[in-house]
Amino acid sequence: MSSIDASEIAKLDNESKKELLNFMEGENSKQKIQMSVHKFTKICFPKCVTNVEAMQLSSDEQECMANCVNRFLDANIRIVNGLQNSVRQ
Amino acid sequence: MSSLAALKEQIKQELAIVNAQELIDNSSDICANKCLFAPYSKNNDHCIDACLGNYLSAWNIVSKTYINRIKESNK
Repeated sequence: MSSIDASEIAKLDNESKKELLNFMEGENSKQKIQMSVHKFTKICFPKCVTNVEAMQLSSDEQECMANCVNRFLDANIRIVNGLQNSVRQ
Repeated sequence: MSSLAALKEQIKQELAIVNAQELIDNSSDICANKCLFAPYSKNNDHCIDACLGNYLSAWNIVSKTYINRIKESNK
């Protein structure tokens, strides 16, 4: 997946190099969010959706998906805080 | 097209491929698991199609929820 040619980048003037770097930083943050969305969907879908054959998600299943993401993030924050506290002690 | 624009376009396309691949891998795993059963003597296309549609809806809910959460935390 590394078909970007380094010589193409070397040809750019400094202004363009700077712009490309900014662009890549932006795309990188967006892609991190995308990968988290993939991960949360992969984790939460099997937990929340019982009838995959239904024509659409039930309102309970939709609510469960949103709750699952929020609880996962709450747990993540709690774990970060918990670890910080245990390091301090 | 300037080479800067071409590079940006190339990066965008490669990321789009990564995201499509991720979606295909994950939904194939989950939907095959939920729709296909031993001894795997027949397909279950109806279930696979419905499962994929539901997976995409679920993906959109996750995306909305996560982005709202990020916005909240930046307030």
